Amino acid sequence: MMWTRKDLLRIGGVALLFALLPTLLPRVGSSVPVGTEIMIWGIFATGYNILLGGTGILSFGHAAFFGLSGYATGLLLLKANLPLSAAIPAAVAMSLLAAFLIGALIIRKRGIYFAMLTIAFGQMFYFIASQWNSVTGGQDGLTGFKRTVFLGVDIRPEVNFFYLVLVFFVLTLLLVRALMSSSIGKTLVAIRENIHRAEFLGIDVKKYQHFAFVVSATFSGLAGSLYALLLNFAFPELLNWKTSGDAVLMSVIGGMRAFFGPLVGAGVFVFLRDMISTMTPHWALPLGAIFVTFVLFFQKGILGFFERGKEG
Amino acid sequence: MDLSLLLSQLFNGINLGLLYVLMATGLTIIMGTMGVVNFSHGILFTFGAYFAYSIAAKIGFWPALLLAPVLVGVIGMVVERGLVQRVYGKDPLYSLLLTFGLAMSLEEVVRIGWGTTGLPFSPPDFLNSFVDLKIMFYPLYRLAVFGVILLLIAALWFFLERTTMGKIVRAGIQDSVMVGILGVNTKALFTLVFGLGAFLAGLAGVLSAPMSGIMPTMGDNVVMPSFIVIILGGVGSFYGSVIGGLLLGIIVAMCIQFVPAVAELSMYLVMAFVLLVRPRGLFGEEGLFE
Repeated sequence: MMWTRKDLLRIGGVALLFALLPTLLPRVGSSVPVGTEIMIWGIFATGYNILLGGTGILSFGHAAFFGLSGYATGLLLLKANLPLSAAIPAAVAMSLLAAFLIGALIIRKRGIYFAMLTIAFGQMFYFIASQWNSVTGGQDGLTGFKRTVFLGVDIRPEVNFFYLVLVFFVLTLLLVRALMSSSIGKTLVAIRENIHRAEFLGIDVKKYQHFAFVVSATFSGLAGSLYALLLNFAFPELLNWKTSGDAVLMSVIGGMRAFFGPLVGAGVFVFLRDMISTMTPHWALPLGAIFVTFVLFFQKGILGFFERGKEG
Repeated sequence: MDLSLLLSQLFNGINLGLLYVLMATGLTIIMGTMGVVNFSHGILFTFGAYFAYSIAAKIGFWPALLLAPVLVGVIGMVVERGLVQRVYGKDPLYSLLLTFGLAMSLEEVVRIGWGTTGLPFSPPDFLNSFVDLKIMFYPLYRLAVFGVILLLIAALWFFLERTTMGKIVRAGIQDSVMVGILGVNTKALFTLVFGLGAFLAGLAGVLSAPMSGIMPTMGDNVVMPSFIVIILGGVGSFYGSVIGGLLLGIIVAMCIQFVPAVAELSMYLVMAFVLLVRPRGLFGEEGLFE
């Protein structure tokens, strides 16, 4: 069995909770797209955390895969006239391929040096997106594509799109949970805990790390594709290394050792950003300070703080 | 090909490269000694420029040239003492995120303090002219920047290679734990190194202000090249960042002139090439971060 009964109950509970959001959010002065956005960042952060919390590798370049897929989705709709059901998988596959190639080049590097390389490669994509005017629309971003119908369902209304994202979101949770409970997932954790011991046990560490890099980037790609569809817009900042930083922060705020940590972090991030930005245009100042506080005093994140000692 | 064009672009490249050298040297020493990727390095650069702007408006350019970097250096030391020091010995992730969050807040401080739009910054009058180099005219200010940075690099070289303190810093890059065991106060050493790095970033900010103007995000444009310089030169290597910085500056400047379409991209291509051919960088030591 790929999931325990507890896994299914917890993921089912989360799914149910989110399914109620379209009715709940408007009543508390918020709106449906906010819920959609939280799920999209939830997909990004939960997938990303396979690498960070699961394998113990820090990447500051996953925004590149997020943005690449976002642009690819837009371009495939706009220039190739593909239906959404083909454009989304094709865009995600491009992120997967990009991650495979970049990963092959840099996976041998360790620690902060690896992190730096991921930033540099990520920024490469950022520059391509912001300067290749004829294809990407340059600094102004890519517009002109619209989400329409997905497998016969009209996803133009925000509520309908919300439920489509909910499907992908629940699938992500199930897949990541299954991966991390499988023998592959256990091997990744073994590498995180003690890379030398894993090597001595005969595990091909680099192969597993490369795998984790590619899988996490694939989820970044899925999130990016959905995000571009949410906004009907792709813009260079999607690929900026600061967006990668946001995903890292979500994992850390929520708790990168807890399965639902990144999701909680994504929710808190979107909520705080929206709340503070209604109060002041300088929302980055308090938000940055909150992050610093977390890094200094709550290194296990929100869930880690409550579930002391337990590993998710 | 027009020789004067080639030559002036070469000069521009060296000019750009020297700025990268200032940034990368600080970053690489901090990285080598403390294992910290300082994401706030770019914002320190920005602070240097803005401090200089305000000081220059009150008491003139020359005091600004000196005071602004010193002020940034002090900020660096305070940040290290108050914040970064708390996460030493923990996963490098935390120092990285700490400086990331800090940079986020500080950039907003710049916007609150000086506004979101760019500000003009002219060099002092007597440097604001062109020099006749026989085959071309070149801005005097840029030549002065050459002089200042070259002097500073020489001073840095002297400090690192010829003084006891510098020897300790170099030893710290090799193995800071061992340096501590040998009785050196590594706590003070780290603060000093961070302050020095911040000072260099601040100075780079001041010097570049009259060439490119100032705006809140100006630091972003130099941080990424500085990372690449470190990859190019090798982590923790002073010579690496000097040679790597100059090389990258010249390559970028030449691309801006002759193949503008790939100007920004060129440095990433250089990086990918180096990684394929010589993964540890030109002067990197084998085993460090591999």
